[in-house]
Amino acid sequence: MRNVMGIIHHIKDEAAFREITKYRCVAAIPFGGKYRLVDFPLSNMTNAGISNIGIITSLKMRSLIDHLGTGKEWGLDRKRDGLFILPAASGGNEKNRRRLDLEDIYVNLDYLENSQQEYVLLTGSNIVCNLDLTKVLAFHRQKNADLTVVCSEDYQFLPQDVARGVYLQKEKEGRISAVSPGKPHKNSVISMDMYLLKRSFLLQLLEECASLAKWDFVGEVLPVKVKKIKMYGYVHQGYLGLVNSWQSLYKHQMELLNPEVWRELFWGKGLIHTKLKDGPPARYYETSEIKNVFATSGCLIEGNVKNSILFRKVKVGRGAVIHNSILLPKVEIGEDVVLDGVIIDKNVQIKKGMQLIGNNENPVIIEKNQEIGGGF
Amino acid sequence: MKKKECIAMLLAGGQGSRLRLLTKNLAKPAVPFGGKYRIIDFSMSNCLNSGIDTVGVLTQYKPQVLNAYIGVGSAWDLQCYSKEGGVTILPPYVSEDGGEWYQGTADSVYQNLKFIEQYNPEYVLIISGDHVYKMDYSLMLQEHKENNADVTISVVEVAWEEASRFGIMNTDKNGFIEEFVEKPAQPKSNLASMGVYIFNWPILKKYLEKDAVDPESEHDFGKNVIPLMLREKLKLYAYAFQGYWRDVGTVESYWEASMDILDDYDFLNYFDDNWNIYSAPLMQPPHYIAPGVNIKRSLISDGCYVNGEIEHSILFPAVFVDKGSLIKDSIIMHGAQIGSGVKIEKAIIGENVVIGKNSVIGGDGITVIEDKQKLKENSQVGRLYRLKRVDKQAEGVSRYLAESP
Repeated sequence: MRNVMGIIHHIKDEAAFREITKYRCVAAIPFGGKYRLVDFPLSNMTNAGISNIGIITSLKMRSLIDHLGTGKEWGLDRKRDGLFILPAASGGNEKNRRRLDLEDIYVNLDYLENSQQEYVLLTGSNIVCNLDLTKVLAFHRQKNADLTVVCSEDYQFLPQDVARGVYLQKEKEGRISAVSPGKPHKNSVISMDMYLLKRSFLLQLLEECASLAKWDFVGEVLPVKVKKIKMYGYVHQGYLGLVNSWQSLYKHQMELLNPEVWRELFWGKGLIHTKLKDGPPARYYETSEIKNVFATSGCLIEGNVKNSILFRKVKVGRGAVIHNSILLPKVEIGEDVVLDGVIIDKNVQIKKGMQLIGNNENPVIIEKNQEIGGGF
Repeated sequence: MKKKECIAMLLAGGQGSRLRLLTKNLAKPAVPFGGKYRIIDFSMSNCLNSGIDTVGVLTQYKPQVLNAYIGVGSAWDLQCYSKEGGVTILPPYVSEDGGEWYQGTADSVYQNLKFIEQYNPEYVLIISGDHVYKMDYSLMLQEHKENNADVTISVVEVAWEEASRFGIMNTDKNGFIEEFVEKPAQPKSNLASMGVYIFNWPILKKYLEKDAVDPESEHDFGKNVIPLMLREKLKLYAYAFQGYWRDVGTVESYWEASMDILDDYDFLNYFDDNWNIYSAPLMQPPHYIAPGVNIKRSLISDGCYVNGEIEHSILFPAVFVDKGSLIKDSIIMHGAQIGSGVKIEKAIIGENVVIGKNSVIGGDGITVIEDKQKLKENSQVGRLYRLKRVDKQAEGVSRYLAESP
């Protein structure tokens, strides 16, 4: 896979994540106890041997850049190739809702032209899976395809995410005959927003797009191009989470509580890498009661936690009851707090005795750096 | 090279033979401790937290794991390429005049005088990679300067009944050391040397050179160099360290110190950002705790899968505990696989050990299972430090013979 470079494109639909994306881009959304969404595509690529990766990001990039650093954890702090941060065309002003904005790539044309690899993998940053990309390349070569899209045959969108999906008409032999964003139809498969093509072909597409001023790869380019090129669908078998909204963010994290998913995603084809942090093991006190929990280093747990995900450095006070919730790093839960169906962003303190109740479909979201209860 | 005020020499060559099976394949400083650390992390983190940016690590006994673990020192911000100094691993070497193994603690530093010379420091801090403690060396250095001392030795109060196990300092009320007695039968004080010394560099150099040509000497700081300095009336002061300090030199003290860490909620305080203990972290997913299990007073690392009862125990990363097992007062190291219905009490289970279902581990004392052992179903292992496989084919419970410590 040294002959493939990767570009992680910028997901523009930040509004779908409500408060979670107030301070961060979609790629930097915390996921699964110690990860951020970008870790999954990034690790899938580096595990396959891709060592030249560009990440397109908008102005909300602080946490993403903090997370990525030099790319050391993914082996991308390299002399040759490595990790490249590419600014999006529109800067922070996201008026367009292009699903895969080729203009973002076009403004970084130098990077694409200067790279040496024969192939480019375009991928979104919100695809949670553990996938062997070498097989995608082998498939692409075997089919002699112009474009290979990775797709899923059995993925179920949440109702609110259906319109955010891209649906493909897949013929026998894997040939894709139609691409329809937002409109599912009978027997269509779901695009995983991962595209493999030759770099020269992408450069040619970019020139065409520039002359026509049509930039949406999925919305404008593919539905037309699909008739003229050899486009194939590679079917991904196994766990998949397409994190398109705050509801699916909650749902897919809760799925990690299934040990089968935990095992496949984190102990599967390759390790998912993330920024390493120091912290002692999680500490469980005498009074703790833990059932079906996914927890991380540095947690201090005195209370009762069930069906929940705890990120680093979460403190759960004595007598607190936490069910069906996701607590991000440095959340402090006071004594006797009751939480059910809540996503609490980083660095929030919930004071003694508070109760926050949401439900599985509509979890309560608490914004970063808040203090809830106590001093009112 | 830039002049440094104080550099550290970290003694990490010890075999730690009293740790028996725990040091069978690695040096004592590399022994895993506290759920995700190795013993050397405490001294290395103390250096970082005390502002010491140049550390020479003296290695000798089975250094492979230790060398790989230290790497370029980036886990402790001591990567040598980022600034002058950083961490340098100093194994024994040969030169045109031949070469020798390090004969003792003092000899190991003596053989690396040239390493120290290139930094031309004012002070040299000698520490050991064998101890579990959190200490600010800069406070000790400050007192060293205030006393205008030649040498300062850090001491810690130990229980009187244990004092005869340590090197004991007899001091006047200003901390001036009048006498140093190694393992006294009738201790006059309970101030034990922690093996942490600050020397004025010219004095250290002079006395190491003196010691090196003494044919009677064992070339040990505690046994030879310090007594020689006392005989020659140098100004040796004791620095009284307040806080937790343990030499985890035996299986018993290793187990006890681990249990101390479990009970002392402040020692590994992640929320104290100014005094973290750093380690080279492993890439592991968060751990999973199944429904219907009890976990009390325990430390659980990333990557574990826990489907059994854990009481007052430490689980290192990627430990798998199957349904219906009970682990009590034990330390389970990296990657161990505990089958269902297993009972483990007061035991240290080595890395990547596999324990078959319904086994019972533990007896009167502390049971240690060596790394990578595979125990079949229904095994019973009592008090022993070494497992000898007697008959691979035989069924039943007595397939393992105990070799007493």
